[in-house]
Parts: sequence; structure tokens; C-alpha cells
Amino acid sequence: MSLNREDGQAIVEFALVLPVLLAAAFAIALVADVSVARLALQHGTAEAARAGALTNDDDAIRDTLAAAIAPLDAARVRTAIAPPESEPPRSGDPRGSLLVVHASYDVPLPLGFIGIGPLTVEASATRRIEWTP
Amino acid sequence: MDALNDDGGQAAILAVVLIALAAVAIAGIREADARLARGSATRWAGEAAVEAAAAVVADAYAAELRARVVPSRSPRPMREVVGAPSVREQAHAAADDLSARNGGVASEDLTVTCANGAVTVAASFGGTTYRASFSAGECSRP
Repeated sequence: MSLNREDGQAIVEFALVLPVLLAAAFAIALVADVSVARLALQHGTAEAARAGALTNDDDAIRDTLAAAIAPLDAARVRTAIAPPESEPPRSGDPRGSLLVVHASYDVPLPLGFIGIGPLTVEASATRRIEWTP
Repeated sequence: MDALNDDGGQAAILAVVLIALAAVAIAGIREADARLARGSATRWAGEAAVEAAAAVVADAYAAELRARVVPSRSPRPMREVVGAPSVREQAHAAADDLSARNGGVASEDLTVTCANGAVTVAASFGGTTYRASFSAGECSRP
């Protein structure tokens, strides 16, 4: 009886376990990816806010953020700087006021085909502006 | 004794073991990540806080230098100026505010020293001391 033979049992069991194994490996890699992104964003926003506190320059803030968030792709980082450079107090004498740099990054998930989108990681940093006009 | 000799169900047992291993690995990574993120946030908060405090002290230092331009006014010793309770309170408040805004803890103590040609502000957060200083010619006098 072919139903009672044990030939190929290992292959069948491996085929059953493989999806679990792949899902576990994927989950571990994803958690590590999110961790790296969070630490990189935290470091990047802190450096960028510091640059902003010393220069009061949005371009310098963005450049510093882009340089400090490696290994993340700087083109995919969304940045918000408050208050804007063109508005008071930053447009006048901002020394002593606060500068907030906020950044977010979408960690890509290859699960779009089942409707699961990217995971968004965020970080922000606040500094007292030391720059004087 | 069939249960002990039967080969069936090995895949299920293996799958359960793998899921358990993955859960432990993920929990470990998350715990390590949380610890790293906390440490990093505390460090950045401490640095931002002590720099804010130093900026407050620098403002007081600069205000005193500007005030000395008035001929009728006798200059105050700079050590008294930067170490004044009101300046220290403002510096402390600025440090605590910045630390809180960056997810850090309140400072345990804050000291301001005026010596060797520099003003140095030191503040402790969570057992770690952070320092910020700026050149101050007035602090090189004995």
C-alpha cells in the first residue's frame, strides 16, 4: 500500500516547516530593520537639530540629517522643521528659542500584495537656538 | 507505546520549536533595541540640556561684558556673575526643559565654574555628567 510507505517523509515535513522557518527569519530581519531605522533617525534628528541650533539654516539641517542617517536612504526620509526659517522667531533674532526637527521613514515591507503597507518610524529632537544674526 | 514509536507529527513539533526560537530572538532584538534607543535618547537629551544651560550662562556673561561699557558702573567679578543663583536657576530650568523635550530625565545637579579662561557648565542626568564650555577671557584672571 503506497499510503503506508515512509519514503519522502523528510521532504514532506521540510515542505511543511519551510514557510514557518521563512516567516520567522523574515520577522527577525524586519524587527532588526526597524531597530536600525529608529536608531539612525534618532541620531540624525539630534545631529540635525544641533546643526540648526548653531546655524539657523534649514539647508544645513537637511544636509546634516541626510549625512547622519546612514544606512537609511536619505531620499525617503520626510523632514519637518519647526518653526519654519521664514517665520518668527527664526526670521529675526531666534537665540534662546526652541528648534524642533522631526523625521519619519518608511521601512519597506514586501507584503504589499496582502495589503500590508510599510512601517513608519519617527524621531524628533529639540534644541535651544544659539545662533545670533 | 505507539505514541513513542510513531514518526508522525515531527513537522508540527519542529514548527513549534522554530516559532518559539523566533519569538525568543525577536523579543531579544526588541529588548536590545529599546535599551539602545533609551541610552541614545538619554545621551542626546543630556547633551542638548547642558548646551542649553551653557547658552544661558553665556548670555549672562555677554550681558555683563556689555554692561561694563557704561563708565560709571563698576564691573562685577565674572565668577559672581556666572555663578549667581538666578543664572544657575535659569540654566537649570533650561537644562531640565530641554532634557524633558528630548525624552530625558531631570538633572540631578548643575555646576558652573569660571576658571582657566573658560566657563564650564556640568550637569548630571541619570548618573552621567555632561559638560559644555566656552572661552571666557574674564575667567583667566586669578
